[in-house]
Amino acid sequence: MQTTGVIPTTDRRPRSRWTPNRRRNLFGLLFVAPAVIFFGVFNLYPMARAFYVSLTSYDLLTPPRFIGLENYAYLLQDDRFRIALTNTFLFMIGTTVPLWVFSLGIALVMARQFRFKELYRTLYFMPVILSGVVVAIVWSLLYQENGLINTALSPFVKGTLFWLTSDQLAPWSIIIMAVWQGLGFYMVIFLAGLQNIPADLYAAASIDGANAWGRFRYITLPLIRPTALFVTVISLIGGFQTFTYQYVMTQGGPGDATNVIALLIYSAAFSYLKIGLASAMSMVMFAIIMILTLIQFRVLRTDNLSYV
Amino acid sequence: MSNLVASKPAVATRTTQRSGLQRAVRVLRWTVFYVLLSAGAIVMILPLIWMLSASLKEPSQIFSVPIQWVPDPVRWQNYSEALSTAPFGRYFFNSIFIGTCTTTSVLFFSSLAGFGFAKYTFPGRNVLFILILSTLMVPFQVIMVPLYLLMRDFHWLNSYLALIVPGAMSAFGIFLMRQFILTLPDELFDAARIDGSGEFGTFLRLVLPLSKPPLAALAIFTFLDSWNSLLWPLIVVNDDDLRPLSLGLAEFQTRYGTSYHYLMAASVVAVIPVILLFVLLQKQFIQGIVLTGLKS
Repeated sequence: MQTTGVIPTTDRRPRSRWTPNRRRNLFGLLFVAPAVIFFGVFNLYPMARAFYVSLTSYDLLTPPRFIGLENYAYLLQDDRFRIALTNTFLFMIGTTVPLWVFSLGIALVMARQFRFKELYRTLYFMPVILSGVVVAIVWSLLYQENGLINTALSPFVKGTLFWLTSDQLAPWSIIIMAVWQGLGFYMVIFLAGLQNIPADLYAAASIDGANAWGRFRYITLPLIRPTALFVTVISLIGGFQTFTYQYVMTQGGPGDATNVIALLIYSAAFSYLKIGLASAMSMVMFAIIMILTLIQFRVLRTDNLSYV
Repeated sequence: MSNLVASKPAVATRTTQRSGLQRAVRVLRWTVFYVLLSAGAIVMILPLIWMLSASLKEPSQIFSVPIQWVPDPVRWQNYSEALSTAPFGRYFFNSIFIGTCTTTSVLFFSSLAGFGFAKYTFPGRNVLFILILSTLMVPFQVIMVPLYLLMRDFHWLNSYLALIVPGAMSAFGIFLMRQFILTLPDELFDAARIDGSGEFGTFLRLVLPLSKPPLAALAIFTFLDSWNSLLWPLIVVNDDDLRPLSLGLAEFQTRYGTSYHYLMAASVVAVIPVILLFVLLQKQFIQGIVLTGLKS
């Protein structure tokens, strides 16, 4: 791999091992070094420490006490942990499915040409840039018993809906809000994916007699698979880590109805000062995400995609 | 960007209109189209409009039925009163300061490392790159507690350091920059070398100026992410002076949650700069997402 230069030389050997090439490539190492060190300190080391701490009982005031797998054993039979996991999965799937469907739908619409398209696209995208805190605050007012949503629904619905105070309804209220905020983001991603599909494919299909549904099913759907995979992965992983909405709107309540994993870990660590237990929870969370991601990549394979 | 064939055949617009009926049907279709599309757009925007309206109302009128969109009277004092109840100016400054420092750092180190990974070969290069990428798989909740402990060990709690440093680099940014720099032709760099430019000089004078598109996208993402983040500031900050806007607003809601008019006024203030920025930089925003989506 090392060449000593294009100019033919005599039998001279390089004086040291540091050929110009090698010296130059060392700069590459230098350039990436800060990043490597940074991630070592602020990412890999904390991961290792999290694993170690998960094997201890630690309350921040007294030194950690090693207890082996006790935390994990506790988690296996802890109701709150199980509930939090269930709530988190509910949120993940409850947001990803509608987001997927609606944002693809809107993207298909936005892909056409029509007047004021830019304006509409801006309007649909606007919620995405808002802070989760602001969104949660505004929607918690909209969800009030005498709030806008109930008022708007009153001709159609008998009685009041307790959006945030009913343990049946509260998780769904948050899901609806999350879909509202996420729609524009995934719409843009799908739009980009749609634009990668060559237009002549559609033209060819039309000529062959395919109708709109046929074109969608046999051209659009297969060819946005990579985009679909990306959207699904991002949405599920993001959904798993949801925290802000639940913290601001319901604090996990009513009861534990909207308590999600991130919130449980936070309160275990900083309210109950059970650092060891919180770390164990985060390890379990990590394992689940790994498994999920691997499954997704297998299920939505994109390597047998070919079109000319 | 807009060269897609519409999935509805565009042929209909070109052929001669056969009958008035066909025309009427077309008009009807487009009307329905716009009505539905607008309904959706209204749903997207309505909460924001309601927020604005409520921010200018008497507290007693906020939930009045039937709803009054234009407040009467218009209570401008809501803003001055809300903003004096809590140091929103300070929160604002904090968010800007933290966001700017974080974004600058991320842009610089991501392009530097991306350059290193893209245009140099050194032992362990691929391993290190994969290692850094793999940190993207780790959810924040896994490292948030040990990171807190680390901040404690460094005595950085309740300081700007804790708010900025852990976010000073981005694996995603490194990935993005590397992918982009890979597309820059090698000849450019060879030429620069021949001209006597040092490696770092090449970085400053060649790589950075050429990388404007991904840098812009990365800047927007990083800043926005920093602006909206709640969990980490919540963990490391207790001093009111250091609270960024998101945290300040959340605390305000905890304490004055029933003063809805103040709450809405504060929320509007928190949201206006972001919306303005967005309206001005729309193209870059959206292109940024497209860019990152495709690369991933």
